[in-house]
Amino acid sequence: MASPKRRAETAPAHRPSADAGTDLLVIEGLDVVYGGGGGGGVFGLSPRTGFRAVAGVDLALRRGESVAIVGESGSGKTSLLQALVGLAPVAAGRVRLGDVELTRLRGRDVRRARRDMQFVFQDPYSSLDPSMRIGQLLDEPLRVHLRSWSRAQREERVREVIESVGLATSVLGRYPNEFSGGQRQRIAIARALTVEPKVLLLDEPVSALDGSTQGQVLNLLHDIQQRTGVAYLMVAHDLPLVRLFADRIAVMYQGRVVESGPAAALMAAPRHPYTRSLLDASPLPNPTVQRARPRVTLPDETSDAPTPPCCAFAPRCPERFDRCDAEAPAAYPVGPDRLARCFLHAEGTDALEASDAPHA
Amino acid sequence: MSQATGLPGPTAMPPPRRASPSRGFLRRAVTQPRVVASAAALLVLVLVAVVGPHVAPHDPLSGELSRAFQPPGDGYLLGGDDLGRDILSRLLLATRISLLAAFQAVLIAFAVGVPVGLLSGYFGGLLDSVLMKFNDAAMSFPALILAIVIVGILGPSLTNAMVAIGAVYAPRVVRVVRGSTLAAREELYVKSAQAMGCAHSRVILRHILPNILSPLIVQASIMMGLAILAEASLSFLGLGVKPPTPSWGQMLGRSFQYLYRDPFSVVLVGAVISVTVLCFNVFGDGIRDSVGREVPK
Amino acid sequence: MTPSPAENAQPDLPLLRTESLSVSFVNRGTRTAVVSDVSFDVAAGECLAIVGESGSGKSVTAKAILGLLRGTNADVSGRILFAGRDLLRLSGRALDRVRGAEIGAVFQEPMTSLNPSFTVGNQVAESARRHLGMGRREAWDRAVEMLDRVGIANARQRAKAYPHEFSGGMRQRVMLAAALVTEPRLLVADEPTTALDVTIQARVLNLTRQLCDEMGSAALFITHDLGVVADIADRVHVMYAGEMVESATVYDLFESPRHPYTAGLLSCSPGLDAERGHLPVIRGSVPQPGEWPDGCRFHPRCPHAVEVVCTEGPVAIEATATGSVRCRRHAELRLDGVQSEVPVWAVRTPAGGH
Repeated sequence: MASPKRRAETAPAHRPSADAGTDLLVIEGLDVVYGGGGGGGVFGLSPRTGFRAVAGVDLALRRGESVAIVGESGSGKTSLLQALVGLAPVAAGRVRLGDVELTRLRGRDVRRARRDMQFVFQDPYSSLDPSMRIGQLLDEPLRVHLRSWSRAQREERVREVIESVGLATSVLGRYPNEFSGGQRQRIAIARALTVEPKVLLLDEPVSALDGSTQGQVLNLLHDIQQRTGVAYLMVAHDLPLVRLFADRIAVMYQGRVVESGPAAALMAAPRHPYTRSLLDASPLPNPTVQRARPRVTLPDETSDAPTPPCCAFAPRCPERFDRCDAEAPAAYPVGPDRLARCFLHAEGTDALEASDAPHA
Repeated sequence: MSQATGLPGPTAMPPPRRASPSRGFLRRAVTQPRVVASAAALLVLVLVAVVGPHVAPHDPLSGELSRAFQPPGDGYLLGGDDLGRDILSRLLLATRISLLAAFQAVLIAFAVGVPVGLLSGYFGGLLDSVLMKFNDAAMSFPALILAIVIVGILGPSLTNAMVAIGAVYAPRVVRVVRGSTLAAREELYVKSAQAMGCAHSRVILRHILPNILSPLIVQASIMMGLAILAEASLSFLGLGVKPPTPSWGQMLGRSFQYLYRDPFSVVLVGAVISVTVLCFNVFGDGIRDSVGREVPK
Repeated sequence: MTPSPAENAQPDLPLLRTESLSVSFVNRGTRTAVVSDVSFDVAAGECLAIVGESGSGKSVTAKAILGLLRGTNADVSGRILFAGRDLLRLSGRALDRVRGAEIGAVFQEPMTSLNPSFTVGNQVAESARRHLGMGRREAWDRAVEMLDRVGIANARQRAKAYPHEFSGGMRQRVMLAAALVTEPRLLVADEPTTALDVTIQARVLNLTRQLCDEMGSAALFITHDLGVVADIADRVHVMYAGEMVESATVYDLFESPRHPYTAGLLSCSPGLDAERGHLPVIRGSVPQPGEWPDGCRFHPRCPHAVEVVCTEGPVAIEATATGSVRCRRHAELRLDGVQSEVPVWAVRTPAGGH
């Protein structure tokens, strides 16, 4: 936990207040569009229609909570995460961190606000500048955000944080290419934690690691959260994996959140056919059980995109009916704190008391 | 099965992995014999440039007409030139002057080219389009002609000649820097710095520039060779250094007039120029080949 | 492949047998071993999975079998017997004939395995032309038929398209078509679904299994994913740090692993239930080639390691009831396999809640 002395020194104008339990990060109606607008042509004057990677996403993250965004390629999950730190173009919508509205900030103000929302990339091999030593890498966020600190204070903080991720201070003088993937990811996490952010954005943090080391990093993240109360927003493609990590899960398909809710409930009884398909397709490492499961697979994506308005998942959906091709579904409540973007749950068809089907 | 978080103890040694391209390329470079040889030769040259004029046996600027075209011997180790001056002493001074001048030119080229290339490559967009149009226009002039024009405007002197050469070569530097910056900009560690909240200046100076040094060093080395040749050309044409001050080009120019009388001097100065340029090129090549080559594991 | 217990009533020669296969890379005088003393059999029609993590040498093993290490700085020793012939001793041309006609290959990255300058139909047909001696017309028809069989709609038209016009899953199907058009006796698949989305992976796995069954082809499946292994393999070999550490039938491996590494891998699988913050791990990290410890290569990470027994001398393979294991303590250890209960999420409840 940060000492009170350090907290007092920081106070730039835009730090969000963080009351336990309230929404810390709120995303409303976020659109991420690549290649649209005025970027191109001679002298940049000819606008182009772009590719909409994220469409109207609403998401909230509470203090100390872990939320996982799960989806396959093309779901927009990575674009969503990157948009939060300015690495993807936001075309519409709002992002609020505490009481600061990030989407309204520009230039130096938005950079200062980044202190509270740090990012850990998927690839531990290229996210650390190879020309910098570990000590310098960890020092950098402090120099950017906590300029008033003395060198001694920074050094102490760097030592503290590298030990908190289970690495010895002797690593500080070495270069990233001397370490394995798992260690580099820990270094990246340490770097993100130096400035004590409120939120840590993690883009598939363990996908590039061996199975035997994935657990190490996940355990470490859990440990850190217990100690510091940091909130996590994690992107992943593996539903069974996030079950062991997240409090709440949001499933994305083609730029939209199609289902969201508490992790255990969502995984035990998914309400959206796509979520169901993801679970059906995830192989269980148990041959007796896996081969007894029914072999239900999703048809492939067709290249002819259905004409909106309609449900984007309709062409592949096993539960498809007429309404799905005529309108786009809204997000309907399907339980306490649960939403599903599917007409099966529209007003009238009420799945609430169907409750969770009996387990085997 | 194992401890709670499964983290290795503080004494666990992380395994060394493959070296990254930009780091340690110097270390790899020195394993190549041609790099070492050319670097040694260049070092000798620099030594000559620094110390040479102080140990010159005779005055390089004036001589005795009675010793004109004197063959080597009798105090003039390399003979006398058309005005009876000691060629060796002149060569020693010319080495310093030429190397210094070439260095000036390259410095100017980089001082202009690197910032422009960095800004253009990093920010892109309208700024990049405009700058590149100017750059392309400048590059479309034949280098020597442009240099001559600039010297013509500024007046013939060695400094002006070097400014001209620097200006002429700057667009080439811009191209190289911009290309490297465009590539470096997409690197994940650059995006990481941006996401962290680093200001653009910090990203450019701390993350992009140090990681594009290798192609720059190669370019600088090769450009030194080009600048030496350019200075020689300009001085040959009488647009560079003012006599009686010697430079390689100046000496080449003068002795060329008396080629039939004394071919030795022409060959001598020409050889010195050629070998120097060759050394720069070989050195640059060696550095370039060391970049990106990974220590195999 | 329908799961079947390992048949010991096989004819003498298995379809593929490697004997003491070892691969080292030589670079400027230093020799680094990446695969050491790997021996295994693949019987006709069976699906053998080789599972391992990074640095285990599994991909290099596959490449050695396919002859892809020729002409590189790799030094391959041992024997690779395919239908009785040693592939390592074959001339380049003879190997070419075997490869393609009798051994098909599918790799991880369909982007780079397919030639972007040729239509997919062409690439599938080429195999038919070269190895089945078909004429152009006939080979093209065969290619279209194969593309249809792998589930590409409008095969006749789509055969004229280029690889970049297909999605990742589709490209992998094309690769399968190219590999299987000659109905080879063995399909070598090196992480074919690792780069695919899980829903696509499921279909490609189903397809692979179905086609291999129809053609009677054996399959050598290289993967790191235990879920995939559980889904399609008949027998499994586990590799660690360049060597085989355990082999067994798939059911045996998961229920009663004999090697601590296998047990560790099983417990770390994300599909199983575990406690948040206390996920099972194998401490330490995988040693890379050149840094293999003395004695048992797994001993620094093994919770059951004992001085001297495990730390000295290379450990030999010992036979077990259904396979083999490379561990001196295997007879004394009782290791946990996977639990037999079904995790909640794998139980199929209809999404509508009806």
